[in-house]
Amino acid sequence: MNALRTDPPNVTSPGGSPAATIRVPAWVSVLILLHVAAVFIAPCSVSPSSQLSRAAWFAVHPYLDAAYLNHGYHFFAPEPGPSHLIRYELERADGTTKRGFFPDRQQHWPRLLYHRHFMLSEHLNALAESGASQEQIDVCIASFARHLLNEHDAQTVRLYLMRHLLPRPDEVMSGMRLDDSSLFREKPLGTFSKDS
Amino acid sequence: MDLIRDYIRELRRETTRHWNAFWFTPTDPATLAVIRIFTGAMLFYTHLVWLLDFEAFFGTDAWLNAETVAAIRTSDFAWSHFWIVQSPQLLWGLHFAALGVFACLALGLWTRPVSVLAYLIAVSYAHRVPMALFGLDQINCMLAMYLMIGPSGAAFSLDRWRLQRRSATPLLPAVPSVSANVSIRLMQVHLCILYLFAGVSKLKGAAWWDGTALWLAVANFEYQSIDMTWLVEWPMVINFLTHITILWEVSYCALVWPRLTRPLVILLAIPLHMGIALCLGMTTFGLIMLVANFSFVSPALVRRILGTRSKAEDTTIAIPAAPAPHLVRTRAASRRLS
Repeated sequence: MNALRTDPPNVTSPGGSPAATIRVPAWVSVLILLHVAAVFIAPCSVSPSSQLSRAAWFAVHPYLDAAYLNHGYHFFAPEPGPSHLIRYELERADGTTKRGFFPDRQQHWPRLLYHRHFMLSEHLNALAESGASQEQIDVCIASFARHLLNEHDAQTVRLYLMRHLLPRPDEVMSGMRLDDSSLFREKPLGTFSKDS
Repeated sequence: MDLIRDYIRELRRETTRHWNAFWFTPTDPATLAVIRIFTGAMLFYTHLVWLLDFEAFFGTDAWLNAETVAAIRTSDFAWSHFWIVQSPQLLWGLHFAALGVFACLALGLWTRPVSVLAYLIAVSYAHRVPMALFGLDQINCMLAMYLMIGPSGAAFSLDRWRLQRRSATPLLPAVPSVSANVSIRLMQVHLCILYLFAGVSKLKGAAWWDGTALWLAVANFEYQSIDMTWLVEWPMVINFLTHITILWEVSYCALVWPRLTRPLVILLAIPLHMGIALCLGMTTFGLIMLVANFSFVSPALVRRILGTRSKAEDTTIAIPAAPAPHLVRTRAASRRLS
């Protein structure tokens, strides 16, 4: 589309003041159109999606991936759900043990650093729920284990995925705390040793 | 047939006219400059925090080392300098250089090259730690991308201050520019797409319909930074806040454009995102969303608040279609600035 030479009387700039439109080459319009279309296609292609959306995604995903625009923007959707944490038990060569979990608001500060650790455990769960291969999930878990073994100079580590369920309003009204132990469900992720 | 032909002709003409007016009307870069300051500051803070646990996220024994990320990533196009640079010393050096780039962006120093570098660095870091990211990083990179396009250093910047110092005469105010408009428009349109999908994706969840979704957020211990569980005594308030959230998100892309509703829509963004910031422990995300919403604030209002004048306010006549010689000169100066 070619830019207009004259100032349309009912058109204003983002500043609100009437201003003339400048002639801009048509390829700029084409680039803008393609970019906006690509940004729109990204959330359209999030599952469940149509064959058309997925085909469009296939065409534009190299651009979206490279530019880090490949987002679904499904914040707290379809609805806010339970949190996920990783609990670990370490054994050192001298026989001492250490237990911990992440994210840990006592250990990870400032809040942004806490949130980075929170996203690690959340994304591990999301990876499993998104239908990623077991091999990919295992690679992630092994990497977490390797990091903990090296950081704490431990010989073995046992990892657990903890799902923290949300209490109902009536449970909180009857005095239940948000971190009540009955709200946690635990799933073993494996035992890893330094040698392996 | 003539009616149909006339309609198609008019549709084409008017679409073209409005498209061009929407994207290519020059605008004062004041709003863009303010967004540059806050985005630069947020990028600086985001990467400063990485520094506190750099080895744990980017080192050879990181939570997810480079090999693991390569194994789980789904795209070959997720490039990063971390795939090439292996030396820990060099990575540390590059990180401090990155902090310098983000600081320069916030201050508006060498803005044009620095804005390009800032975007590339932010994306490079994002691709290295895909499992540690959240909305903050998406908005950081989105804003950094659009800051590359417009002359974000043409106002409220060290570049402008330096130009002023070198100039024998008082510097003319920043010239309205098409690229500033394209930059701001892309932020606005992107934000509309974001909120539209944030809203419609929630429509699949029963809790957004029965009005309890806000409770599910409040009752999440891991997100909680301020205890809001006292709201349990006020179920109608929870329902109202849930409904208003989704109504606002779904209608944002329509109601933010009319002048009458725009201030209301933008004002509602403040309690919504500050609520996320203060109650759900995502201060950075809440703030950067407000920065993105700032793209809908007019440069005239920005100038009025900051007590500075724009070029448009200085001229007594509308900007001519063919630039007058004095405007050509100031545009050239503006290009040097950015």
